[in-house]
Amino acid sequence: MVITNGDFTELTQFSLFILVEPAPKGNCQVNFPARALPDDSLLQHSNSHGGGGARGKSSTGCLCYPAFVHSPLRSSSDTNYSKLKYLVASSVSEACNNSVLLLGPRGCRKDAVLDIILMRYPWLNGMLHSDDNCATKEIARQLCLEHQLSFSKMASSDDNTDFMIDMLRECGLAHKTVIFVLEEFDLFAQDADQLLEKRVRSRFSHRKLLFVPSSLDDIQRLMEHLLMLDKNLSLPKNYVTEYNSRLTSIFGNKKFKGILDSLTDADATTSNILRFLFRVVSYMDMESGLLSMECFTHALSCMQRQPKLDSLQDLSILELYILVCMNRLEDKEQNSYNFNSIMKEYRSIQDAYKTSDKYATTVCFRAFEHLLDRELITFADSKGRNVALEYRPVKLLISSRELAQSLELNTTCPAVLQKLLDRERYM
Amino acid sequence: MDLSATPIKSKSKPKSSPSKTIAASAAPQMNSSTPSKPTPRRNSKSMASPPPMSPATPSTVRRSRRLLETPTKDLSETPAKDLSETPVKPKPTPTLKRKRAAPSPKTPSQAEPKRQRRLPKQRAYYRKVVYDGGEFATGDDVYVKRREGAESDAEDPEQEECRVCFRTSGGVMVECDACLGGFHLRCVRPPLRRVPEGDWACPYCEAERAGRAIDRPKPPVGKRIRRTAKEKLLSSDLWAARIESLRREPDGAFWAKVRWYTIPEETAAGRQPHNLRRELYRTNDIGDIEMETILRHCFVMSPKEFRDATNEGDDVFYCEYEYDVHWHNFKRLADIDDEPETKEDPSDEPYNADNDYVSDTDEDSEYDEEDEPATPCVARKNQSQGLAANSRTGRIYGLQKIGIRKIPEHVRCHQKTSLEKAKATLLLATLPKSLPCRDKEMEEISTFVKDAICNDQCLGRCLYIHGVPGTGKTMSVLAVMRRLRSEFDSGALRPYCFIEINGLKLASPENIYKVIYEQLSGHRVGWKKALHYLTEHFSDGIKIGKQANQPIVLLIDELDLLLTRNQSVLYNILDWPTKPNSNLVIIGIANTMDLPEKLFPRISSRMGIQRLCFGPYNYRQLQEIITSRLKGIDAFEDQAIEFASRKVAAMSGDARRALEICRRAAEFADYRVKQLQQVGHTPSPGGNGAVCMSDIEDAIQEVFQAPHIQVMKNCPKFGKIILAAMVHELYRSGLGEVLFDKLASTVFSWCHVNRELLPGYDTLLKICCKLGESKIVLCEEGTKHKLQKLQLNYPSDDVTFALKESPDLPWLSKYL
Repeated sequence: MVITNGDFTELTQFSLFILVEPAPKGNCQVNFPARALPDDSLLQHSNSHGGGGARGKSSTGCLCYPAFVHSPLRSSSDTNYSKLKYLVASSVSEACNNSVLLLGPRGCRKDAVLDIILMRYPWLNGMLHSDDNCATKEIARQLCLEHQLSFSKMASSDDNTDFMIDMLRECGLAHKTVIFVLEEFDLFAQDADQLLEKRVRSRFSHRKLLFVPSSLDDIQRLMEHLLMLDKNLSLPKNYVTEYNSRLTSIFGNKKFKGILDSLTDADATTSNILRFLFRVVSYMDMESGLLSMECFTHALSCMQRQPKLDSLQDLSILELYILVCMNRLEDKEQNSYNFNSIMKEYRSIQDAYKTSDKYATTVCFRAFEHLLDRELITFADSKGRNVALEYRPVKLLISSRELAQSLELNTTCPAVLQKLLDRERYM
Repeated sequence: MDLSATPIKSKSKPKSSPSKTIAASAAPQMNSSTPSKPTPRRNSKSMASPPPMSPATPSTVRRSRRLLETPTKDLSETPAKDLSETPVKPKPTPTLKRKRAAPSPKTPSQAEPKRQRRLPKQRAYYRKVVYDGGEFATGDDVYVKRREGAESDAEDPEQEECRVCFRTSGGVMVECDACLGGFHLRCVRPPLRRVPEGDWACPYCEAERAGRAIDRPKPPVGKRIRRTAKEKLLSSDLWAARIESLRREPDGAFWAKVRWYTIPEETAAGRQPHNLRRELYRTNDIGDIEMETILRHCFVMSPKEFRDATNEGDDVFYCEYEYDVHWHNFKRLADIDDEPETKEDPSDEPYNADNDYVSDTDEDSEYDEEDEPATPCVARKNQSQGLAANSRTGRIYGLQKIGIRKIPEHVRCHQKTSLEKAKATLLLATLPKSLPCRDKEMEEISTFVKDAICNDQCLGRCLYIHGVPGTGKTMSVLAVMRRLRSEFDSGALRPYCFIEINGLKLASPENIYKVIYEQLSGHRVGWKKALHYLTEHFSDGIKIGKQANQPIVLLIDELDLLLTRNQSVLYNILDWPTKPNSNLVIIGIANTMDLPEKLFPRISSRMGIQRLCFGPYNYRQLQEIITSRLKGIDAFEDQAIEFASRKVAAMSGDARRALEICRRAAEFADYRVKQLQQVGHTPSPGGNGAVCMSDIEDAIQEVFQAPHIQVMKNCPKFGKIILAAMVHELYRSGLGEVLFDKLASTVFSWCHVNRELLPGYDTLLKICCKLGESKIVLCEEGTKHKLQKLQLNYPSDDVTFALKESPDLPWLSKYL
């Protein structure tokens, strides 16, 4: 047990060990290059420059410009942003070692906050650098790059480790800090916080910043910030006022509130909101250049697409028959069935109802293959690859609810099919 | 000196190979050890080899016997002085002249006027200094005077005398590979026609080797044998060192920081059979010396350079290993592929571009201008072949540049507040001045080690130290070893060898053999070979090196990581101390108390019964540790410290954790103070300045509180419904796993009943996957669609607690 543990924790421990106690002597710090210190003036500059220009052309531009999107972060106090900034700034200026864990679901702007605070940093990604040799090598490479040293690909992992420690010691002498950013940290460890091995946890300095999806108010504020046009842009004055007043009325609309609700009910992360706004802006009426309520509703329906349901819509009648047969088989608690048993069911239905949709077995088989390709049905197991297709057990991948829904929506669907599905049971 | 000593025969190869490599025409680039200017100037100088550095150094003949291909040249030009310069390269002469002409007036004009000029306020670092007629740059190897005012140091014969006729001139000389003495070709009996190929030993050495007694010729009465610098170095009358950095102190004196070389005789292991005559070890000992004591250049080469060296003169040495002066062990220097000068960065910027130090470089600049056109390509070449900083050798060159950069002004003048001071002392990396609360354990370790190494007959022993993380295990052992070290320095203790290994830093458990062997012998071999040698060393008495008679203290941290499937690594290591005369003491450290019980009986019986437990600290001890660190800093309220230590003692007793909590609390307090200052409030006296209970509470909250409750509370609405439905299903079915199909129908029916908007089936699936990403639930991949299996990753009570009172879903609580 210990052995298996040892294998994966080796890396974790090591990376963390660096974070916490880089050098045995002690005055090394968690990092960073002097020129990457938080530089608000620089940000401001690039912001007004890039952001403004982009907006002049189209509103979509500014949605893709991270510095602009996340600029409200900087103005508010008592946020993760200011806390993290304080942590980094104080570890840099006071020369102490720190390790911080940024936690949160995807799309909650963990990276963005980091990006605003630091411009560049040695960067490791659990997706890419998942074993320890590879990780130390990458650290060495980035440190070399940072200090214009030459880097050898051939160096062994011991060498790289030694180099890293020497480098940290040297940086410590120079009162320089090195910030390691371990992205996708849970892939270094197994689960970011709870599952760290006790040795590692003891060395981790337990600063945690939790990133959570923003509240409804914040989202609305963010939307206003992003969509409203700035007064002093080089656009016609009356256009800007018209555009903004339209937008304000939309924001005040009850329907808009509903749209926002149904959007955030599913996913309230900032990245999702941005995706939504991008859709909204791309539905803009190009004649007038104004946003209307339709843009928002269209965008919402776009966001809420149900791909499986959509693909059910384009199926032929025969394919629907096959699906319904499979569904009936599953209802009969027949757990394992294959093409032949489906055909048997199909024949019995055809015999009972005498419909005009009776096809030869080869045609049915082609339809069956088509369903497999569209991933509406799948093989029940991965065994028996060399067994002929018609004998392999299959399973439905769509629920009977979806099937019933699509039959209802399908205008060409024969009434028999709906009856066969026995829809009362599901609706 | 038995050259044919079997196992190390290969070692003499590099030495002997120069005679095989016939490269007279290859102009020696080697001694151009002025790395700073990658310009043709260097080339011309390098051809002129040593002269510029020491006017007393005309040239070097001795090694020129290697020039087999051009014996005529060598032989014809009897006056040894011009031999290497004039015929082969006519060009350098002007350069040489200018160079020579320049330094003589320059030497004074350089040292003195500068002093009258603006004296720099601070130290100034240089890349290159012309001192006393010699040009010294960082990375150069030099001879250093060992004794103050020994008159024999003053004489510096460039040429060696023939060991037979005791004259310097008179034709080509050949060097004996055994005694390093020089012989005229014609003085040898029988006389040699030309320089022999391969190894050559003089008749006297041959005779000695054969066991015949033979008298070496005595020098004529009244004539003292003058020794060359090389001989003085090898007989430890001189030192050799590599210049690491050059600087001028505020008072104008030039100093150099040097890394010493040592001769094999002065290492703990003594001269080994495989040591070459000209072998030196580089040490890790760095010293500050005045430039005054530097004699002149010598050339210490890597094995490869040494092999390729053909005509480098007498001051050539071979260096393959680094010698650790503290622990008396050896490490192989990584292979140096290139000449050392490639290490410099091509831009050739001075270390710190202070305006007031240009004085020294103005002579350089004049050359720079001449050589302008050639510079770029050389620079590029340098960059491409530069030593990689992450291999061992490159590190020495590249890294100190980083250390010398300026510290930003605002940091230096920053006055630390007491909170910041507190934060600094609470850092884990800060070595505490005292180690409270572990006196008993340290005493025990110390007696254990002392018992083991003080006895004349050191019996192998084993000590197993265990305890939960953060209880000071490693720290105590290292502190004991430091104390013993100082006892040894004061002479109260026998010499011993200390090896420290961390199980986590080994690439695989087997690598431990490799590491131990390398530390003992300085050689790097594969682990199987290392195991073989070590077994021989410990059980069969075939010792590695001379210091092997010393007791060896082996500290293995994280011992449990050495466990392999068949536990052979631990078996081997723990078996050694049981052998007679093994002189091995093992201290193992691990977390688990029952490691010996987990081992096979045959191993645990070898581990012995001596164990030492580091129990978790209780709150008084933690309190003492924190207060001892915070002594003199008034930043913490007393009850805050007590609170923190009580909390930690109740949870784990981990000192690291306690320190971190206090530091985090100090950070909170500091953050609060700074926020207030930003707003414009002046900190109210007393109240806000210190770390109080609430800060500690916040810190503890952050450390111990699991974030998953927060994450669940902030889930989107459907996420919450899904979680609640999972709990519901769990209670209904009693199974941990639930199929997505089932889950979805529950969610739909709930939404239907409670008049919520129905989500799409695929939307629901997406939300499930998102929950899976943040590991709130464990789920299979999304392609399984309705067959996807889901499972809660946290106890259902946590979910219930988190969702009970959610404002947006008041109806949810009735299902929980």
